[in-house]
Amino acid sequence: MPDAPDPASRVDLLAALRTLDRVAGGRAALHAKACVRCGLCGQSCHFYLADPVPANLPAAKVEKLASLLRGRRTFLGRRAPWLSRAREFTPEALEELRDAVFGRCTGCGRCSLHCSVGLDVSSVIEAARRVLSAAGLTPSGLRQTIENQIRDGNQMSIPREEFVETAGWLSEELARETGDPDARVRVDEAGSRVLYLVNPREVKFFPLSLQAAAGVFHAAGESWTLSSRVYDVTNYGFFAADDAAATELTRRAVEEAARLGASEIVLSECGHGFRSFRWEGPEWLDGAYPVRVRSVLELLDEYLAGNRFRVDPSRNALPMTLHDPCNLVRWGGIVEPQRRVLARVAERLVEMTPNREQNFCCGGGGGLLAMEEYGERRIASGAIKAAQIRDTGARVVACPCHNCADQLIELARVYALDVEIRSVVEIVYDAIDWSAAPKREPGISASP
Amino acid sequence: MAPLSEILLAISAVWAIAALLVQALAARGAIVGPRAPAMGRASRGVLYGFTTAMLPTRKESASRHPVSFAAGLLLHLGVAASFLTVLDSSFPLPLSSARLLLAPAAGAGLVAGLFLLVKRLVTPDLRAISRPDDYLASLMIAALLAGTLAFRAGVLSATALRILAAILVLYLPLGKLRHAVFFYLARADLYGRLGFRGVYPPRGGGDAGRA
Repeated sequence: MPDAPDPASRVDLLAALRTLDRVAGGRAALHAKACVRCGLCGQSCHFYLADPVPANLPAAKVEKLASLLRGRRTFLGRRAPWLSRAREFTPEALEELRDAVFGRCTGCGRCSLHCSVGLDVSSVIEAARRVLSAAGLTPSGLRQTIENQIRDGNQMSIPREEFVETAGWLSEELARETGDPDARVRVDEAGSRVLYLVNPREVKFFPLSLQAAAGVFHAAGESWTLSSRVYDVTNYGFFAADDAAATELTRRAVEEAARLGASEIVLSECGHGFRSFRWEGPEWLDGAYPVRVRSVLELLDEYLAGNRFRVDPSRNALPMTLHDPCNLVRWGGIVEPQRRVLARVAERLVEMTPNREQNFCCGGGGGLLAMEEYGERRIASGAIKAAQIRDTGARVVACPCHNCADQLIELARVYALDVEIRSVVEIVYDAIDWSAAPKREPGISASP
Repeated sequence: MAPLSEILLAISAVWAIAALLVQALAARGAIVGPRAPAMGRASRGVLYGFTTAMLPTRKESASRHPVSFAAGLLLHLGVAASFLTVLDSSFPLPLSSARLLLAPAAGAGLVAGLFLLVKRLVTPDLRAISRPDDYLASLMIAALLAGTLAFRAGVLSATALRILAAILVLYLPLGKLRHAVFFYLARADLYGRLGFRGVYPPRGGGDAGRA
């Protein structure tokens, strides 16, 4: 069940109103004004397909914000609110808005591609979340995660000592697996070319993913490092449209790259992390970065195209499918690198239908995994993705997003899918033919 | 001196253009040059958005709702025919035999418009998201289309037709009819962004295995 309405006294209506007025001059207002409420968007939304009620129509979610904008900003909305169903700005209206834009939408943007007009629905959702953030109505789980990131430097509040310790034993494992004592998880190595940002989930729960990345970097002879202080690729400020938090988190990473002398920031497999850092970050910081920013998928593609190490696809013989994270693919433009990579390291890739920019959201995007109150809807809306996976007959799902991976793991359990969810870098690591890999000298980079 | 109905129509047109311009300018915050390095070209995305992406095979709103899509097309063609008829009544256009198509187009548009109106009334989901403005706009459009038919049949005067058109144009910037302008702005903005990010036009072989 959604949260109980916050007491009116805790809702900062004035701040929310100021934000609404700012929103009225931007992209969201432009798109909200274009909606004709034809209702044809429902068939493209995983929430509506799973639960076809009017509240799940993308147009209905747009309308929640649009009605508030009309009530405040349009002639007809002020003079004849009954005609356009303009709404007053009240705590109750904000509560409904919260349910619509946090609990019924992941901002995946699929409906936009199929909208008869071409509305950018997710920009409206983002603006609505911005208003709610100003009102203090961000769902508590999301708010808590942002606070963790700002206070502790990572969303899971992992102490620095634990991070360093994990890197230490992962290094031992990696050296043992590769037979190369120099293979290690590099931490705080100034002068490295690449600063690698990871999802704290990798450190806390899925360290083999981090080990795999370290192994691949080692095999490629990459000059890379993690930072023990700033390593979190996620940005929950983006999900909450909390611009101040999102800006601060981005700024920290850029400054850390400068401090370590890195010329490139490489982002681990994280859909929203990529979108927020690659595309939104320069807007927040009001200027282009002084360093290059790429997804690790682009780097893997480059390594394999350049034969930086040898791979044996027979080591990934099970039929495999690929999940397209919305923020990475539809909103990020990283569509083909992961496909080229998997074509080289796996024997049989079966595409889902539909795929690429047409993919369906897994249901866990938009920060929904951090909002327990909407858990039932999240799992129900994932039925579409579960059916897509089942239809491929795959036994492995390559998932280039740790957030999506959490959702897919849960979907596999709930919908009884006989699949293993794996990151792309893990799949690449498994395919490396170490017998053909040269031993690397410490700190030597084979990068151009 | 021009007839009063033509003056009224001209005034309503000036009002609509001015009001829509003000609204479009109010949303100018959307038009901000992206600061991130590009992975594609915005212009190519926009071109794709107004061409290939508009094909029924590319939009589920069309492919999964072929009747509604066809009705929408006919409605908009009918509205175009109506405005051509209104203009033609004041300033004869070089339409020659194409003039004969105006009434059938308006008639087809009227049928399609009424179908969409009834659909809005009887479909619970659509009714739930509709507002009085949606019905009012539909009725105004239907009145103009019916007026066009009546004018072409010689049972309605040009003055009455122009007044119907003027009322519609006066209302245009106030309600959902403003999508006549915002459709282009919204679509250009969305596809420009996706073009800049290298999502569109699709690079990886295209249709992405649509369902």
